[in-house]
Formats: sequence, structure tokens, C-alpha cells
Amino acid sequence: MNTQTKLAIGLVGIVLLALGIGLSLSYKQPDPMPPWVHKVDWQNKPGDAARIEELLWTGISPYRTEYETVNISAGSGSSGLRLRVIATAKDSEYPDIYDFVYEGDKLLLTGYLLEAIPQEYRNEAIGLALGNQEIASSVIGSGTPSVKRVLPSTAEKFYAPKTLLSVTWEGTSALIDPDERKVANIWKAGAQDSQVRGGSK
Amino acid sequence: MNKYASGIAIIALILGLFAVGGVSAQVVGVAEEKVVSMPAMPAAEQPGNFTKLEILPRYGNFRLQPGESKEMTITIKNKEKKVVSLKPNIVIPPFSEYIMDKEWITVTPASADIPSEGSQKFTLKASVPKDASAGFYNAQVAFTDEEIPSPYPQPVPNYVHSFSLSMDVWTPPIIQITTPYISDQLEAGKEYDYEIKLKNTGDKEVAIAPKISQENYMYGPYGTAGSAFPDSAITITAPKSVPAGTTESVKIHVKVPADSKGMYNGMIDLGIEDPSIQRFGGSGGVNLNFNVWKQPTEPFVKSFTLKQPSPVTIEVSSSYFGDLYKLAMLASGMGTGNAKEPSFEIYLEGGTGKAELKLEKTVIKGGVSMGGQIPPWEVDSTGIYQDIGTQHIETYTANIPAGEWKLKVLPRDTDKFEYTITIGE
Repeated sequence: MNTQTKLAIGLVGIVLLALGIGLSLSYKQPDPMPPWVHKVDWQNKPGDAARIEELLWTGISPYRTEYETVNISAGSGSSGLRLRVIATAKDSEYPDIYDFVYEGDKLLLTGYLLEAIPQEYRNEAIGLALGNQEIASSVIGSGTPSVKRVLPSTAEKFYAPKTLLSVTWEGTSALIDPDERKVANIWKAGAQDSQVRGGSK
Repeated sequence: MNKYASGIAIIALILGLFAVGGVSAQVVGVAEEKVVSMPAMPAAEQPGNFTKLEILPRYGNFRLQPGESKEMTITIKNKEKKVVSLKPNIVIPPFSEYIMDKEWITVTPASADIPSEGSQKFTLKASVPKDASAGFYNAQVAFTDEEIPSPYPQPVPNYVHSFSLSMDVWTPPIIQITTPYISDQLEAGKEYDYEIKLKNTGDKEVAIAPKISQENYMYGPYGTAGSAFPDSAITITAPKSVPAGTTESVKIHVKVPADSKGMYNGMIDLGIEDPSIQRFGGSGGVNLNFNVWKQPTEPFVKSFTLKQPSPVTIEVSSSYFGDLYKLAMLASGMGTGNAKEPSFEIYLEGGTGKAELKLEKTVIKGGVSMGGQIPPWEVDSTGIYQDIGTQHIETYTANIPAGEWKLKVLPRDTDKFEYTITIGE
């Protein structure tokens, strides 16, 4: 092997080494936080918080907005670790609240109250509910309703497995399909019993 | 030379490690619309003649705009005691209004052999072409050609091992309506003005033709209640179109007749020529809900007798819902001119004239619910604190002589109140 060949091989080696160093410098640790979450705060942070967060990002999601802060508080329960997640969005005065139990590397959703709905979608849902003759005549003088998101796992029992909005006055509620812009189901609390109508899509 | 070769090999190894790290660093984003995991069909429930497979999930629901695509994973578990070969086949039902092309859906791998008790993940990717029409589309992925037998001819075979995908292809409305409903409390004999803003986000002028809809729900064939006032009490002023990239106002003027009482429920049909709005059978509507009431001019009177001079405490409180109504009105930016906090004019009058009432305290009382009587689709919120409203309570005191007394309360901006008269310390 002559000197020129040795020099050429050496040069290739140096280039590859520089490339390796460059890549190592530009390499960043993976950021497990999804783009729709801006800040995470923990209270009583457990040892496996990273794994819980990883599971959490597939278990929660904002409704047509982004979460400004996700506050996770952990507390021990009779079975597993109880987690209360309160997520706030800039364009809603109400938060999304999720209750989970973390056990055996699984996150189980045990309850939720999701009201972080931007005002325009909240108003739209109320408008759709009031467009229903039966609802409009039932809620005279009942003031402004609450608007809550209903997750597909719950919604499938009353309409279809998709995200719906529940518009509720005292004793009257309309389940709204925001995609099809229609009232999917109606509930009325009666003196004798509660009445649920509507049905599957 | 061996030294050079070793050096290059080490560098290549380092680069290889980075490549592996790069793959592991990928984070899969979560879309807002989630695929719902349905319980897998238990193998034991499948008829004996069919191959026993668990498919998870069985259904998927995508919401995509033209030009968008989305992926999901379907996992199939082989519950047989032998290897099962799968070859996903896209089946498009021919009877729906919107029919997608098979090319919109791809499933990878194109085929797989699953060992006994083994499982295989398939990736389904839906890609909506840019020129697709907005609408609801359906597709099935049949993983085997096994069919549920039917004594009647079927337009589409009823596959045993299938996954169903429903897809809502949507386009955002070109015209954005800032105020989809107007809900307000009006006084008889007064006039009110409202504004609905329409923003054209497109690149073409859009025609509008607002009018009061004939679907005035409170009377007509379905309703029995009379409307507080006729449609002619409402005047609409609007331009004929909304130019591209601009915002125009539709002005609503309500002249409430002096003799009106009760509710007015109606709708303004904005007559917007926007296909994404017309898709749902309308042309943009704004619901009107007005509660007409008369501000009382005479106070409520409650008489009581004091046998001896005594301090008296008067407590007056507004209702939960009166406050909620106003707070929500303020939050939504509507009718703020008409939305006022409840207030009371309170007098204590006796034979010697009016007693001097001193405002001792104002209490803000809240109500919190953790469930109670709620719609069944909100049952998952049971146990979570929910603020159901606040109440304002004012407490007045006076030292008054014995005799006949009258408590007079003139309420403003509330249709309900409570009072308490406490005699003595």
C-alpha cells in the first residue's frame, strides 16, 4: 500500500469520525411529552413517573385545543396508585379532570369530567341543543347549561363510539354529535323515572 | 491497514448505535380523535367451524380532511393450535352515499402467518385524496375469506374476521359564525340590539341571505306554548355577501312589545352558501332564546309584629341559577349590556316610618355536586367535584320599636329570591 492510499483511507476515517462526533453533539434525548402538552407538574411524584407519563399521553387528549398545564397528583389506594390528572387549556376556563389507577404497568381510567372545551365549540353545542324543539321547550328559564365532553367508550352505549358533547340543564340533557351537528340523544329527569331517548347512529 | 480497517469498523459501529437510538427516540403523536378499543370477540364465542382469531380493535373511527392521512394498529391473536395465514382484503360497501376507493386504505404487512397462540400487528393507513368530497365513508378489512353463511343473497359478504373503519371526511366551514345562539332576558316594552359576526376564511366571496326561519319551535304543529312575541318584532340588517378574508356583521334588532310575556324561541337562517355548512342540511343557523319578563315596580311585602323593641336581622338571597345565567352570559360575551348582577331594594316600614337598615355582610355561597341526578352519559364524572352555582346573600340589621312592621323587597335582575326575618339577637 502506497502513501497516497494510506492518506486517502486516513482521510475517510477522519471524516467518518467527525461525522460521528457531529451526530453525537446534535443528538437529543427523546422528549416523551406530546406537542399538545406544554407543561407537566407532579405532586407526590412516584418512581415510575416517566412510565406513567408515557401511558398517560395515550390515555388523555384535549378537545380541539392544547393543554397548557397537566397537573398529576398521585396517592396510594387500596389497589394500585390513584392518579388525579387536571389539565387546563388557554381557551377554556374549565379544566379536564381524569381519574386513573396505575397498577401492573397499566393505567385504568376510572372517571372523568372534561369541560376544557373552547368557547366557540361550547357555544356551538348549546346552539345545536337549543335547535331541538323538545330541549328548547324544556329548558325555559333554566339558565345556561354545562357542556362536557363524553369519551367514545361511554358514548358508544348511547349513540356511537365517538367523541360527543353533553349539554346539560337542571333535569334535561342533550347528547350532541358535533361532527354531524345533531342531537344524538336526550335525557330528562322525571319524578318517577329518568327518560333516555335517541339511539345508535 | 488492519489498524485503519479496525478504526473504520469502530466508527461504523458508533454510527450504527446512533441509528438505533434515533429509531427508539421516535414518539408517536396522539391524535384528538382516538380509535376505540372494542373488546375482542372471545374465541370461545366464535362458531366452531371458523378459525379462532381475536381482533383488537374491531372498529375504528377517523376524522380527516381531504389530503390528510392517519394510521392505526390492529392486533390479531391466533387462538388455534396451528399456524393461520392471513391476507388482509379491503372491502368497500357499495350501498353508502359516499364510496371510497380501495386505494385510500393500505394494510401492512400484505400477508402474515401467525403461529399458534401468537399475534400479529397490522398497520392500517387511510389516506384521503385532496379532491375527496366531504362525507361519511365506510370500509372493512377482511383478514380471511371466511364468511358467516346466510340463507339470503348478501350485497357484501359478511366476513368473520373483519375490522370496520368509518371515516368522516370533513372540510372546515368557510364562514365562521361567532355567535351560534343568542339567549337573553328581555323586558317588555324595551328594544335590544345584537350582532352576529361572520368571518370568511376562504378565498371567494360567499353570499348570505339571513331571515327568520319558519321553524319557530314554540308554536306551529309541534308546540302548544304561545310565543312571547311575533317574528315581526325582529328586524335583521345584513350585507348580501361576505367578501373573502373579511368579517361582516348581521345586526338583529328586537323591539319587545309592551304586552309580551313568556318565551320566544326561534332561529335565524343565515342563508350561507357554504357547502361544508349545507352538508348538514342547513345553511347556518343562529338560535334565539328570549325570556321576556316585566321588572316589578311594586315591592314584595311581608308583614310582621314586634311585641317589644328588638334588633331585627333581614337576610335576602338570590337563586343559584339566576347567577349562573348571568355569569355564563358574561363569559360568552353575549348580551353583556342586559346581564346584570341581581340586586334588591329593601325597606322596613312601620308606624313610625322607615327603619334604618345597616348592611352587615354579603355572603357568596357556592353549591358543589358530586353526581346526583345526572344524565347517564355523564356517569363517569360521579365523585368529581362540580361547581353548580353561587348565591349572593345580603344581611341587614336594624333596631326597631314594637309595633306592626312591613318588610318590602323590590328585586332587580333576578326572577327568584329568598328572605329571612330574625327577631332578636
